Amino acid sequence: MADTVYRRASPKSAIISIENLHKRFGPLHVLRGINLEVAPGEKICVVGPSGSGKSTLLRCVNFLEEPSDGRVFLDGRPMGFIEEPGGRRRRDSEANINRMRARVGMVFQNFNLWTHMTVVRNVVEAPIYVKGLAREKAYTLAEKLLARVGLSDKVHAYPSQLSGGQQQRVAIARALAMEPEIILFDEPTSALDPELVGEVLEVMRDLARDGMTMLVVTHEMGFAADVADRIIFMDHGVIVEESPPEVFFQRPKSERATQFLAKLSSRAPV
Amino acid sequence: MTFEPRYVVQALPFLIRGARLTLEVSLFAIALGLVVGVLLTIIRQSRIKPLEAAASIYISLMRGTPLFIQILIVYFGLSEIGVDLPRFLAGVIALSLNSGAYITEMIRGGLTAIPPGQRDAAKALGMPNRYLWGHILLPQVLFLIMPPLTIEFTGLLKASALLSVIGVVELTRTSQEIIIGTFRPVELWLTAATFYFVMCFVLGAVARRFERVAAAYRA
Amino acid sequence: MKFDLSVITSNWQLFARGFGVTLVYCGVSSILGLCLGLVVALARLSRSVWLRGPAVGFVELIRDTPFLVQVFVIFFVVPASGLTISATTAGIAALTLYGGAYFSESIRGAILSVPRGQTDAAHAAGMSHVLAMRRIVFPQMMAYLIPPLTNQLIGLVKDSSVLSIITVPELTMATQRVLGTTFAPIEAFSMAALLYWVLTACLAALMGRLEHHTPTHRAARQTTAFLTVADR
Ligand SMILES: Nc1ncnc2c1ncn2[C@@H]1O[C@H](COP(=O)(O)OP(=O)(O)OP(=O)(O)O)[C@@H](O)[C@H]1O
Ligand SMILES: [Mg+2]
Repeated sequence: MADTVYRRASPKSAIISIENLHKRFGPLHVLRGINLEVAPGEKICVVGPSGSGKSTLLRCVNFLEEPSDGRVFLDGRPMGFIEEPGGRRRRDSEANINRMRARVGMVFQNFNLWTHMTVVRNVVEAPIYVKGLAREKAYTLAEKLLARVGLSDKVHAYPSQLSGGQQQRVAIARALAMEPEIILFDEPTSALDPELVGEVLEVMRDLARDGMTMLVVTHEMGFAADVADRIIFMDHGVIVEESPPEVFFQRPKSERATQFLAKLSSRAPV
Repeated sequence: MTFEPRYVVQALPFLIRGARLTLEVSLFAIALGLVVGVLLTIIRQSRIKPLEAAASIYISLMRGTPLFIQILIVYFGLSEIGVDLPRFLAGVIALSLNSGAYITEMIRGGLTAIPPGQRDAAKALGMPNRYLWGHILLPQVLFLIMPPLTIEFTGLLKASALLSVIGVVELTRTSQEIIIGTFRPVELWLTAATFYFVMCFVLGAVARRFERVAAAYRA
Repeated sequence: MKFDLSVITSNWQLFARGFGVTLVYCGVSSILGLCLGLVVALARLSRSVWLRGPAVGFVELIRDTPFLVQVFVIFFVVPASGLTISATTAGIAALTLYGGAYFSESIRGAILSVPRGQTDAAHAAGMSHVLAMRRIVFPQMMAYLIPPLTNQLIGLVKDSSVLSIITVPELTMATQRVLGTTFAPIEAFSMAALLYWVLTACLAALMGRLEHHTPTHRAARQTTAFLTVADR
């Protein structure tokens, strides 16, 4: 993987394409013009200091946060907004937003498994009620996916009975069950005890080998170095640097990235 | 005047029947109150300003005026607009209209206790609002509000004594009617009070049990 | 059905007098109830079983029976033991006992909400137990006390309407008197409801201002926001 050539996806073939994205929370200008394209099969890791807007970026991609300005395209279609003649735009219907969200998986830092449902119900819920998949098919699919993440024995457990690593693997299965075109990971291992990080990263590596398109916010530099096609370094709401991992970790182009890596040096892979 | 146990013994079968009606009327009221509470919650989330305002005024009125007056208004109001409901039903309606205003506040509190990630996860999967509410939020809220809901139920149990005024023959009304026949207020009122006490005390213990379960769940 | 305003306008004196009586009853019983509540709360927090036991018993007894039945017991059962008791005395007594039991719960909760470290620090500074209570615990507990107390005072005002059943001439009784001459229940009871509403809203506003003047009101509000028991 390390020798993957840095390539920029052409706008047409991109699954996700982000144009001049801005996000403000009141006076706080969190994202200040983000441009990014994600090609099919591409793995992108987003790194950067706390508060730089990484989570906000992911949440804007599937419209959990409404962008203040700029656009996100999913497969060439603008996400969440309808452009009206005269340059104005209005929020798309909830049904359309949901339809697009269903194609984008998301894995959260805190897993966010539904606490009142068993593991398997967590996985089948959206396929049945969002996609209209038949029950038996959904359950067969869920069992297959839970086996894939190594949790065949926890199918009927409740989330509270699982370790953090197990919960996160269920969350990944839940995202996979929708057969998404891309999965967004927001620091999927940050809430885990160190000894549980490996099992989750292993599942993610497996997905990467399988050709899944992934946009991953992470502090796991080893993982980023191995898996990423590109590293995006964000600071203060802008993309400061965009490099292939071997460049980013060995000869970062920007001063800020150098400083960031120096601070992390205890955890850096090189 | 002394306490004569035989009057208690005599009255017991009637009081038990009255207590059963008290329980029934409260059960129906809490069930219907839950429906009212959920409806109010939906209205308050609807983002339709006039509806939201109406719900707020309704809640404020229900919480700011005596239940006793509300019962009388429902009772007389129904007959005035020509709806001739059985007293039991009029009582249930009055209690549940009132209770709904309290339950919606509990639901509001319960909703804030659900971590926002639960909502995010559903939305990220493209789940429409009706499933988000029906499958994710309300089931969790109902679980979270079980302790205050049980306390609300004891509240209704006590409040249902007021239905004696509109002729619902529950525990209090039963006692009154027996007193009219026997002139034994001491025996009857003390026994009725004991009945209420036992019911509420048991329910209170149940509420504490729920609270422990819910606390464990939240942790 | 139409709403006949003259029912209200031609009987406003009755309403006004009833409103006044309600105010007096609630005011007197609130003050007496607060005193009782404080005593009961302190008894419940004491180390002696002889104080704690009766206090717990009293609170449970009041909390687990309907107010209406309490009123009947005081008005009909107590006289059987030879004590003569007027509707006024019975009404005030019932409201006071009822309020006292509920207030004591809030007061106890508020005292317990003041972190242990605060009293420890007071004792470490050489304050006596009484002094620590007066200077440290009581001022701090006000922030925890006011929100639940507001609900309970409102509950007391609303429940005072029940006293009409033993002929205390308060607002609900007055309304029923209006009913006797006009037979317009909707108009009359709506007017009564409106008056109660104004009264409880004023009470809530007043307590809100009071809360605003207590120092730590922000900290406390967060802990009392969820799961406050409904009081009717
Ligand atoms: N809903 C919100 N309302 C107001 N401010 C917000 C909101 N969400 C995020 N922010 C602010 O936006 C900024 C960026 O937050 P974000 O969570 O995107 O950072 P991050 O890069 O993911 O950081 P971390 O590594 O700590 O997760 C922060 O200052 C945060 O306080
Ligand atoms: Mg983040």
